[in-house]
Amino acid sequence: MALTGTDLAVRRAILDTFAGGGVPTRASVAQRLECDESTVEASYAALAAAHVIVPDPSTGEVWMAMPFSAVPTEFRVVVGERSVWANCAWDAFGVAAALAADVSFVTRCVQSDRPVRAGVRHGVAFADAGAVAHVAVPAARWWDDIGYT
Amino acid sequence: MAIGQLAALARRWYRDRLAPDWQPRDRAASQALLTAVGLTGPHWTLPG
Repeated sequence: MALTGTDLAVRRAILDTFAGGGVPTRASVAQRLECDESTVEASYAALAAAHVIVPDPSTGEVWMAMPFSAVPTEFRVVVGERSVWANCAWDAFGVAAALAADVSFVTRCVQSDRPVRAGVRHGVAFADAGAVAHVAVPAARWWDDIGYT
Repeated sequence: MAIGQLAALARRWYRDRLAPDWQPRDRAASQALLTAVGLTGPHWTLPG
Protein backbone atom coordinates (compact mmCIF):
# COMPACT_ATOMS: atom_id res chain seq x y z
CA MET A 1 0.00 0.00 0.00
CA ALA A 2 1.39 3.41 -0.96
CA LEU A 3 2.31 5.80 1.79
CA THR A 4 0.08 8.85 2.16
CA GLY A 5 1.17 12.43 2.56
CA THR A 6 0.41 12.11 6.25
CA ASP A 7 2.58 9.01 6.51
CA LEU A 8 5.45 10.86 4.87
CA ALA A 9 4.98 13.85 7.17
CA VAL A 10 5.05 11.54 10.19
CA ARG A 11 8.21 9.91 8.85
CA ARG A 12 9.81 13.29 8.40
CA ALA A 13 8.90 14.37 11.92
CA ILE A 14 10.44 11.15 13.26
CA LEU A 15 13.68 11.59 11.33
CA ASP A 16 13.98 15.29 12.09
CA THR A 17 13.64 14.53 15.79
CA PHE A 18 16.34 11.88 15.64
CA ALA A 19 18.57 14.12 13.53
CA GLY A 20 18.38 16.77 16.21
CA GLY A 21 19.52 14.32 18.87
CA GLY A 22 16.06 13.58 20.29
CA VAL A 23 13.83 10.54 20.41
CA PRO A 24 10.35 10.86 18.93
CA THR A 25 7.21 9.67 20.67
CA ARG A 26 3.71 9.37 19.27
CA ALA A 27 2.76 12.31 21.46
CA SER A 28 5.65 14.50 20.29
CA VAL A 29 5.01 13.66 16.64
CA ALA A 30 1.30 14.42 17.05
CA GLN A 31 2.13 17.73 18.70
CA ARG A 32 4.64 18.61 16.00
CA LEU A 33 2.14 17.87 13.23
CA GLU A 34 -0.85 19.26 15.13
CA CYS A 35 -2.83 16.06 14.72
CA ASP A 36 -4.16 13.44 17.10
CA GLU A 37 -2.19 10.40 18.22
CA SER A 38 -4.52 7.98 16.45
CA THR A 39 -3.44 9.55 13.15
CA VAL A 40 0.19 9.07 14.11
CA GLU A 41 -0.47 5.46 15.13
CA ALA A 42 -2.07 4.72 11.78
CA SER A 43 0.97 6.16 10.01
CA TYR A 44 3.31 4.16 12.23
CA ALA A 45 1.53 1.01 11.07
CA ALA A 46 1.83 2.00 7.41
CA LEU A 47 5.49 2.98 7.81
CA ALA A 48 6.28 -0.26 9.59
CA ALA A 49 4.59 -2.29 6.85
CA ALA A 50 6.74 -0.46 4.31
CA HIS A 51 9.91 -1.18 6.36
CA VAL A 52 10.48 2.53 6.90
CA ILE A 53 10.34 2.33 10.69
CA VAL A 54 10.42 -0.45 13.25
CA PRO A 55 8.12 0.07 16.23
CA ASP A 56 9.02 -1.34 19.62
CA PRO A 57 6.69 -4.32 19.95
CA SER A 58 6.07 -3.66 23.63
CA THR A 59 5.42 0.10 23.55
CA GLY A 60 4.47 0.90 19.97
CA GLU A 61 6.95 3.76 19.97
CA VAL A 62 9.61 4.01 17.27
CA TRP A 63 12.51 1.66 17.93
CA MET A 64 14.34 2.18 14.64
CA ALA A 65 13.94 4.65 11.81
CA MET A 66 17.00 3.76 9.82
CA PRO A 67 19.71 4.90 10.19
CA PHE A 68 18.64 6.03 13.68
CA SER A 69 17.89 4.01 16.79
CA ALA A 70 15.75 5.17 19.70
CA VAL A 71 17.66 2.97 22.13
CA PRO A 72 21.35 2.79 22.95
CA THR A 73 23.45 0.57 20.70
CA GLU A 74 27.14 -0.09 20.11
CA PHE A 75 27.09 2.82 17.67
CA ARG A 76 26.83 6.22 19.33
CA VAL A 77 27.54 8.62 16.51
CA VAL A 78 28.90 12.06 17.29
CA VAL A 79 27.73 14.75 14.87
CA GLY A 80 29.16 18.13 15.73
CA GLU A 81 27.92 19.07 19.19
CA ARG A 82 25.27 16.35 19.40
CA SER A 83 25.16 12.58 19.19
CA VAL A 84 22.67 10.02 17.94
CA TRP A 85 22.37 6.24 18.15
CA ALA A 86 22.73 4.22 14.94
CA ASN A 87 21.66 0.60 14.51
CA CYS A 88 24.90 -0.80 13.08
CA ALA A 89 28.10 0.24 11.31
CA TRP A 90 26.24 0.59 8.02
CA ASP A 91 23.79 2.96 9.67
CA ALA A 92 26.53 4.83 11.54
CA PHE A 93 28.04 5.78 8.19
CA GLY A 94 24.46 6.33 7.02
CA VAL A 95 24.01 9.08 9.59
CA ALA A 96 26.83 10.97 7.90
CA ALA A 97 25.14 10.49 4.52
CA ALA A 98 21.66 11.43 5.71
CA LEU A 99 22.87 14.55 7.50
CA ALA A 100 25.57 15.41 4.94
CA ALA A 101 27.90 15.85 7.89
CA ASP A 102 31.13 14.51 9.26
CA VAL A 103 30.68 12.01 12.09
CA SER A 104 32.75 9.86 14.40
CA PHE A 105 31.95 6.83 16.44
CA VAL A 106 33.69 4.24 18.59
CA THR A 107 32.37 0.71 18.60
CA ARG A 108 33.73 -2.69 19.57
CA CYS A 109 35.25 -5.44 17.49
CA VAL A 110 32.94 -8.44 17.89
CA GLN A 111 35.94 -10.79 17.85
CA SER A 112 38.54 -9.05 20.00
CA ASP A 113 36.21 -6.74 21.99
CA ARG A 114 38.70 -3.94 21.36
CA PRO A 115 37.42 -0.46 20.55
CA VAL A 116 37.31 0.50 16.90
CA ARG A 117 37.23 4.16 15.88
CA ALA A 118 35.61 5.15 12.62
CA GLY A 119 33.67 7.89 10.95
CA VAL A 120 33.63 10.37 8.13
CA ARG A 121 36.00 13.33 8.03
CA HIS A 122 35.78 15.97 5.32
CA GLY A 123 33.44 13.62 3.50
CA VAL A 124 35.87 10.68 3.51
CA ALA A 125 35.33 7.52 5.54
CA PHE A 126 38.02 6.45 7.98
CA ALA A 127 38.50 3.60 10.45
CA ASP A 128 41.23 2.08 12.54
CA ALA A 129 43.71 -0.01 10.57
CA GLY A 130 42.47 -3.50 9.86
CA ALA A 131 38.83 -2.74 10.56
CA VAL A 132 36.29 -4.62 8.47
CA ALA A 133 32.50 -4.89 8.61
CA HIS A 134 30.43 -8.05 8.68
CA VAL A 135 26.89 -8.39 7.36
CA ALA A 136 26.21 -11.92 8.50
CA VAL A 137 22.54 -12.21 7.59
CA PRO A 138 21.77 -12.76 3.89
CA ALA A 139 19.88 -9.88 2.27
CA ALA A 140 16.90 -12.13 1.62
CA ARG A 141 16.46 -12.51 5.38
CA TRP A 142 17.29 -9.03 6.70
CA TRP A 143 13.67 -8.33 7.61
CA ASP A 144 12.96 -11.73 9.15
CA ASP A 145 14.31 -10.28 12.41
CA ILE A 146 15.57 -6.77 11.73
CA GLY A 147 16.54 -6.26 15.34
CA TYR A 148 19.04 -9.10 15.04
CA THR A 149 20.16 -8.11 11.54
CA MET B 1 33.74 -6.10 3.69
CA ALA B 2 36.15 -3.20 3.67
CA ILE B 3 35.10 -0.09 5.56
CA GLY B 4 35.38 2.00 2.42
CA GLN B 5 32.91 -0.30 0.67
CA LEU B 6 30.51 -0.15 3.60
CA ALA B 7 30.73 3.64 3.72
CA ALA B 8 30.13 3.84 -0.03
CA LEU B 9 27.02 1.71 0.35
CA ALA B 10 25.78 3.79 3.29
CA ARG B 11 26.33 6.99 1.32
CA ARG B 12 24.19 5.76 -1.56
CA TRP B 13 21.61 4.08 0.68
CA TYR B 14 20.96 7.02 2.98
CA ARG B 15 21.93 10.22 1.19
CA ASP B 16 18.32 11.09 0.26
CA ARG B 17 16.82 10.03 3.60
CA LEU B 18 16.10 13.58 4.75
CA ALA B 19 15.24 14.95 1.32
CA PRO B 20 11.87 16.74 1.21
CA ASP B 21 10.70 14.63 -1.74
CA TRP B 22 11.85 11.28 -0.32
CA GLN B 23 9.85 8.24 -1.34
CA PRO B 24 10.45 4.58 -0.47
CA ARG B 25 12.85 2.82 -2.81
CA ASP B 26 11.63 -0.29 -4.60
CA ARG B 27 13.46 -3.59 -4.52
CA ALA B 28 15.14 -3.11 -7.88
CA ALA B 29 16.56 0.26 -6.87
CA SER B 30 17.88 -1.14 -3.60
CA GLN B 31 19.43 -4.11 -5.41
CA ALA B 32 21.07 -1.70 -7.83
CA LEU B 33 22.67 0.18 -4.95
CA LEU B 34 24.17 -3.04 -3.60
CA THR B 35 25.43 -3.97 -7.04
CA ALA B 36 26.91 -0.50 -7.57
CA VAL B 37 29.32 -1.02 -4.69
CA GLY B 38 30.22 -4.55 -5.73
CA LEU B 39 27.90 -6.49 -3.44
CA THR B 40 26.56 -9.22 -5.69
CA GLY B 41 25.71 -12.91 -5.46
CA PRO B 42 23.24 -14.90 -3.40
CA HIS B 43 24.23 -13.34 -0.05
CA TRP B 44 23.32 -9.89 -1.36
CA THR B 45 20.14 -10.77 -3.26
CA LEU B 46 17.09 -9.08 -1.77
CA PRO B 47 13.85 -11.06 -1.48
CA GLY B 48 11.66 -10.97 -4.55
